[in-house]
Amino acid sequence: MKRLVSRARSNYWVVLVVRSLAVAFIVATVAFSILRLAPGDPVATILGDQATPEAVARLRSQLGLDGNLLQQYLAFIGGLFQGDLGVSVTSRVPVVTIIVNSIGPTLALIAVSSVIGFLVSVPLGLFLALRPRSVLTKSVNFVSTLSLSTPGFYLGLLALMLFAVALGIAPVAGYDPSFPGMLRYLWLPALVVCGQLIPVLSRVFRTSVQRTLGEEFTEAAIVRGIPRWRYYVHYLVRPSLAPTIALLGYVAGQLLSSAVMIEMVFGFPGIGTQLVRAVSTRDYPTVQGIVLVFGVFVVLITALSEAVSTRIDHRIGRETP
Amino acid sequence: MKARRRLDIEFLLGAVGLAALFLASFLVPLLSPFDPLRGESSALLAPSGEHPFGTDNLGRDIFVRSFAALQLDFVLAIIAVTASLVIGSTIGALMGMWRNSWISRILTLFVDSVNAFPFIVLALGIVAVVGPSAPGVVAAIVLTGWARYARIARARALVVAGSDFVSASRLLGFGRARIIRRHVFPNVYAESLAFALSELVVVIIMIASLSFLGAGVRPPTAELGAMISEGRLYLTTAWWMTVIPGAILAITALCIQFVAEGYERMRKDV
Repeated sequence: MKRLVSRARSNYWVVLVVRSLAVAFIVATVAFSILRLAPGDPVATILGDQATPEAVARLRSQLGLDGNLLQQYLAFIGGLFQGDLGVSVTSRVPVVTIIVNSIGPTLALIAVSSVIGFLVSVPLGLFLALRPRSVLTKSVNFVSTLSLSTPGFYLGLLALMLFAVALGIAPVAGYDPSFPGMLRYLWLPALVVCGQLIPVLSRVFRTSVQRTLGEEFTEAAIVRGIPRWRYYVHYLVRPSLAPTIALLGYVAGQLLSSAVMIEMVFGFPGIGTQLVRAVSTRDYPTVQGIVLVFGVFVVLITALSEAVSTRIDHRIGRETP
Repeated sequence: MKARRRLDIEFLLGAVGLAALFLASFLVPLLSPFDPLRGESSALLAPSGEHPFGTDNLGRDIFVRSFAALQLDFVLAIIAVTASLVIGSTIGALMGMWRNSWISRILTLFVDSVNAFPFIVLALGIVAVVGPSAPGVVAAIVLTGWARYARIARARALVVAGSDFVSASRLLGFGRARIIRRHVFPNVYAESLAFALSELVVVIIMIASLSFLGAGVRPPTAELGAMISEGRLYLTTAWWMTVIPGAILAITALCIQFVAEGYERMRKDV
């Protein structure tokens, strides 16, 4: 019996890793195919009608568009393994350098938002689950629906008007890469990101607390007279965290989406800003590289969150995903 | 047994608000004396009796412009959601029916990969290639969004395919095509429709977001996100250029969200 369980468990990890690698590989393929979806020739679109044949050929090779589709694909995948994502068409800088230089502020923004988001969402979700009929719960639900349906960039602009322009307690734009200095630029955008994050996280967490409350062991704990804090932390929060963490891959996607928007509003030198710049200047290699990195990042978070939630909650993981 | 459906207040509020906004988005541009695209007054007038929402930097009436923009957003969002719903659910249902074929397995991985991208990032990537325009935005959203429906439809089709009534139809000797058409599709679509309603909020915000980033509907066409973006330069001098189109967008999204959440609650109650 014991051996059976351990075999199922090691099988589970193998399946998780293999499936994540397969998804990451297809993510790369999707990023590769975006450029090839173009109706017409992207080279002609960039250069216009009057381009010389040499210029066309040069750009074609810069974009990785020379040779047939299979050759292009093999070159692309080969480049990936060497950490080569091509060269930006507009700035002639390697795409990897662009990503490395701009990912720091974005990661900082995501980290600060996640910390605030978790610190607020866990107690909030717990409260919403334990007091479903209170007036406060109803108003919190209303506010979170309101916040969820306010577009992030609009919320960001309103926050800028209030905190930066009217009150003058936040910088209007910019960033400082040194540690304590960055927080001055981060707190407002992070709060705006939380405007989307907290409603999602707290609802997910509330639902899992509700499910935990229905389990027998929580009742048994009350009957046994477990101390109050221990009941909350060990019997409610911990088992409820696992389903929430398992959904982090999904939440990470949303978080990145709102980070891209918020960066643009706050003039933040992050990877989202680079993506938007690359899209507007038709810098295809950069677009391709950044889209790829975002996709792989989410695949990674999804795999990690599944692994962590399996470790926390021994009820799951017995069946293969 | 037919349970009584309790209409909840939020659903009602959302539905009435949505209907009003939808009507206004078609009536206001028809009835207003002003043109949404041509500047006919002085620039940057504050809200007044003549221009309830003020005028923008080119002297265009923001009242008529906002509702013309809302109309465009409604139309684009409905097209995009319908197309993703039909394409995604159909592919997903077929994937669920042939779950053991290798095509279905590869498609499942493909759907997971498309879903792995943050929605706006993949949409931006596609817009970069197809070009910023109204059809470009719809194409980007459909090419990204179908996979979400496919995932849901596949899960639903797996359940339906294992159900008694499908086994019964199979025992009766009905062909696969008939089973799919008569039993699987209707069940799958019912589930996906509820999801489509909540996706409508996401999509309408997405269209505005892409346009805000300059990767969607381009000026001078009236679009809420594009209007907010145009107003950014006048944030301190003419707040109405940004705040009002944004408020209309947020109220619209809120109404749809109320309808979607209320519909979900009513479905659960029954």
